[in-house]
Amino acid sequence: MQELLQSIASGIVVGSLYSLVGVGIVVIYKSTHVFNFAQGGLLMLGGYLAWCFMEQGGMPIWLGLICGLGAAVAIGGLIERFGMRRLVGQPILSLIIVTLALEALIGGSVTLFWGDREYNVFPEFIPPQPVKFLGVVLSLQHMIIFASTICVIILFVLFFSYSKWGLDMRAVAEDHQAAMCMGISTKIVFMMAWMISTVLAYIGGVLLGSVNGVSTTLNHIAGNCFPVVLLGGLESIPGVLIAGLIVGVLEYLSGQYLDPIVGASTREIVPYIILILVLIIRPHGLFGLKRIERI
Amino acid sequence: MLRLTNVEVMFNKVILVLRGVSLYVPPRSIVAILGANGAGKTTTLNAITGLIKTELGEITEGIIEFEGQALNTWATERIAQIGIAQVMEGRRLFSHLTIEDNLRVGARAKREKGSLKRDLDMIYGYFPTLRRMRSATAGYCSGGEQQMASIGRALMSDPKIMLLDEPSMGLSPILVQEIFRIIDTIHKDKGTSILLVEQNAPSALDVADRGYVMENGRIVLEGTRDELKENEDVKEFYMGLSNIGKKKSYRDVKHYRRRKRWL
Repeated sequence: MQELLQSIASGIVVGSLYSLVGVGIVVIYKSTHVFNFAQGGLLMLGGYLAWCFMEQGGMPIWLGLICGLGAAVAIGGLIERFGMRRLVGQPILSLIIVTLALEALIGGSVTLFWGDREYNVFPEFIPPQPVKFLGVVLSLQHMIIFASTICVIILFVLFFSYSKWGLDMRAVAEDHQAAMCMGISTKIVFMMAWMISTVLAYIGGVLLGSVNGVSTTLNHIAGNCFPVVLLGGLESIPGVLIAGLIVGVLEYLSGQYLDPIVGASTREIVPYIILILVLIIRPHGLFGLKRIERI
Repeated sequence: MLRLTNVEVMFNKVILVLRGVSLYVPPRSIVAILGANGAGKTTTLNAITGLIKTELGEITEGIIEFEGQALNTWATERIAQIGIAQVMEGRRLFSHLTIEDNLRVGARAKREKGSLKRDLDMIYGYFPTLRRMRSATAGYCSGGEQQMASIGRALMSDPKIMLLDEPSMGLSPILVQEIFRIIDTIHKDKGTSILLVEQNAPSALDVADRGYVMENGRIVLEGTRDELKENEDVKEFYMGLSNIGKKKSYRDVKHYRRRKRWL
């Protein structure tokens, strides 16, 4: 019983991190229909930026975090301005390939600038103090990860449903030309989407970095985020939250109960098995938008 | 108000689609553009609103003027913000948004920010059906409802001129009548100018003050409503009204191109 609760709790925490990174992918997909494969790279870059300002730049923690945030916003803007905007009007596949190139570029640049040293430890800004709750032990860092994910997701759901910017982004996602005819600047919307997405990646990178330190393998988390995003349905933010939690919990449960039976680590493949099963039954994911077709 | 002078549009730098189109929409008037498929009617509208730029098209010659400003190089969103609202062909609603959200997006190009609720009420006044369907997902609404929502969405920005692209497409004759009646009411109430592109010539000429006939990217005929209605060629090719009651032979139809008087 104790093990079960512990697995579920750890799964929820890890899953919420998947969701946080996934929301970044969803925001871009929702407004531009580009699947951003570079999200993992951006997350790693975010971690490195924060670490660079705080440790290498010797800034106080709060200043380092703010500078990192500013840099993340700028990078998001630059990617859109010089990478994506030039390809507007081209087949969507070429934009997706650009994000793949971006992932490679970011990975390479990080190694180039900061080397591929295994771990660069953050200054401690969240004490790694254990929190006990119902017999489950979690670190304070994990609690903060979970809480910030929930906050971010609630914020974005409200943003997309009620704010006029959110409405613009949803309109642009549906039909670029019609949105332009309504006086919406697609350029601004795209740029906003990329900035939001890099900021989310930055938050994810900082949170993850504060637990494990930053390293060039930080982007591997994205590998688990892709099934999460697809499972959630690509366009739904609450969907990503729920899918993230499902994948996280099942990962830990399989690690706890399936591994001893199989005699090997099943954690890595579980998300994909769930993904395949769900997509067979619901091709548009758990909460994705159905394609509306008139007959 | 809106004036096109010798506008040429080229796609992909090779395909000349408009070959010198000139037309004028006076303030507070309804002007119709008639013509068959591929005549360049939609391209004319897309040239005005700058949408051709997203389709690898460009204006290679001529000027598009709106209230004295040349719009040739303007971005679509900026053109929308100075009071030119286009209702695109095929309705083009944001299909996963509700009808009301669609209308709310329409208000984004409004020049003077006013009460959203009052604007919505105005639209629901013109289209009572939409009030009932306000929270329905737009993509699941019927063709008529979608067309109304599409016109309503353009009207939300309180435009000075509306460009309507085939509002009758895919609708039953009764609905077409209904839509045209509402267009006429809007025009009379608000004094909005309307540039109407239609294949359904009789309906269009019922509401329009003036009309242009396009063929192969050129304007081949223009005139007031009555002139066009009386024109033998318009009657023959667009209204199907000549030789009523007489027996028609395929031989006449075959000679159709040669008999056009404007070529």
